[in-house]
Amino acid sequence: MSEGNSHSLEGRVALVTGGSRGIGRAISLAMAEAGADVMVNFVSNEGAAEETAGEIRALGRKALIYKANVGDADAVKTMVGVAVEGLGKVDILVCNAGIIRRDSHVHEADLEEFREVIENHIMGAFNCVQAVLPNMREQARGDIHLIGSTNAKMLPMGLTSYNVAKAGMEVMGRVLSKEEQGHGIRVNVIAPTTTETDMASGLLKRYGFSSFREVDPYLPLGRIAQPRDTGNLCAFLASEAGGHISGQVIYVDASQDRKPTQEFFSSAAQRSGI
Amino acid sequence: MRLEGRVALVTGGSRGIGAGIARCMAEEGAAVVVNYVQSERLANEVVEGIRGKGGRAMAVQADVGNYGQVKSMVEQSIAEFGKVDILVNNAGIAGPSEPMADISPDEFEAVIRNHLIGSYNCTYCLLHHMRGLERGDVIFISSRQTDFFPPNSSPYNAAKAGMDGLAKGLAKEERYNGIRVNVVAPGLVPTDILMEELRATTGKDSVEEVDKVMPFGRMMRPEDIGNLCTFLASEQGSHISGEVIYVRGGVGGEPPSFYVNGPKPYYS
Repeated sequence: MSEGNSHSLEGRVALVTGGSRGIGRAISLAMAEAGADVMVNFVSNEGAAEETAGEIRALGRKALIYKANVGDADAVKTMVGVAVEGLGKVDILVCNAGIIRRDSHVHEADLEEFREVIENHIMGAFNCVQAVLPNMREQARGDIHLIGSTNAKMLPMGLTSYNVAKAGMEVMGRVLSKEEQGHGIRVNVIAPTTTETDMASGLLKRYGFSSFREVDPYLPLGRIAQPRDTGNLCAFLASEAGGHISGQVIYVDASQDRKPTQEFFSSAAQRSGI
Repeated sequence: MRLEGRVALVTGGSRGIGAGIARCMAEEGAAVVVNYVQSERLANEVVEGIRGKGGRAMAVQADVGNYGQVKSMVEQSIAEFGKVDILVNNAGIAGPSEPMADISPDEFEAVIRNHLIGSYNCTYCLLHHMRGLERGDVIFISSRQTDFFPPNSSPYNAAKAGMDGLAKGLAKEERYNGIRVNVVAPGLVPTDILMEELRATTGKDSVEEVDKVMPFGRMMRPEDIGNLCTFLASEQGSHISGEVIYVRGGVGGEPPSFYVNGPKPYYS
């Protein structure tokens, strides 16, 4: 490898919010495989967090798990303190924790649900970024990945809270990249399409599919996006080889039609005769 | 080895960014066709460098703006390596730095022909071939300029914006054929062309001097662009298509300080 081409994350410490399951789990593992130690944040499923941490340790890396709701600024500050204490620093932050509340147009939307989604994504990302910046600015290099969504481009009806939250994260990432570039901190938004996770399995059932494999043929490249597709990009961007990429919004969607996933599932269901 | 078994054709691969892309892809195991139009000696140096590390490479002369020459280059490439499953449309020429009012139709057309028609020629010539392969990747090397469109650069602006548009539509056309299409848009890389401009605008003569004022501690190198191209073409990047990714080393949106007081205030 020539100088500057390394994909290694050895000596780095990543904090991955919502890092125990789905896309977050794949990000945690991709970081660990590249050599980083990882703190896996979770909010409800401690068993899954333990399992992910176990896999990270099996790769020879250090792992901690920490339960905290990212919407709670005090809890996030404490979490970052524990990460710095236990792993020495945080020089990679992945704001991945996310929730979705489906199918309510604005005129009938529930105020509390709307607030919950915004708080989780936007305030959650803000809380985590603000909590890690003092420590991250002291490091030779810092990386902040905000996990967005193709929803911010497709803007499906009925998911206003999620669309607004993810679009807000894009803007936060783009501005933050300018604010922090003088401190050696790279900020990017990685925005996956519908990915094979628990979150997406609800859609499958709704449209009468029994497995993701039934949907694959209708998708570009013949397969639904895997959590690892997002994990791989996160690890690459944090490495020396990706070190000059900042302020970017990168969709991981195989150039899927920029139309709502529900419409896609519905038309795939029709085409497959379900 | 992320590109083991792959064959890359890099247009304008003898110098600057193109040479960086060719070397990165070769390091990851791809056989590389190094296209050049004038710099035969430099193209041969890139090829020798790759072979010296145990890689496979050959240099092929062709003007990408000339379809006949492109066709011949593609045929030679497939004859030598069996296929071409990665195309990097990198060949480019600098346009005149004048207001559009002072650019002749011939000057304008030369830039469009090289960047836009050249990209079309190479892509069109390989598309049917790539459709028959397990996977194909087409990467367009665009420019930071499509983010802010500076004045006095109309042919270059138009050519690069055209490449972005071509790539985005093509990604949708070919997505069910296993062909990924992306745009990589570099910021300031100290190539021959840029160093001349630097000397003229800032009096700074060495890359190292400029490195110090860059946000991430150094200007970019051709390898920074090569690394992203390699990632996109690899298994790890296989679900990314239809994207435009700027690689600008933290100077997004605002001109680097050393240009602000120079004669080209819009440079970024």
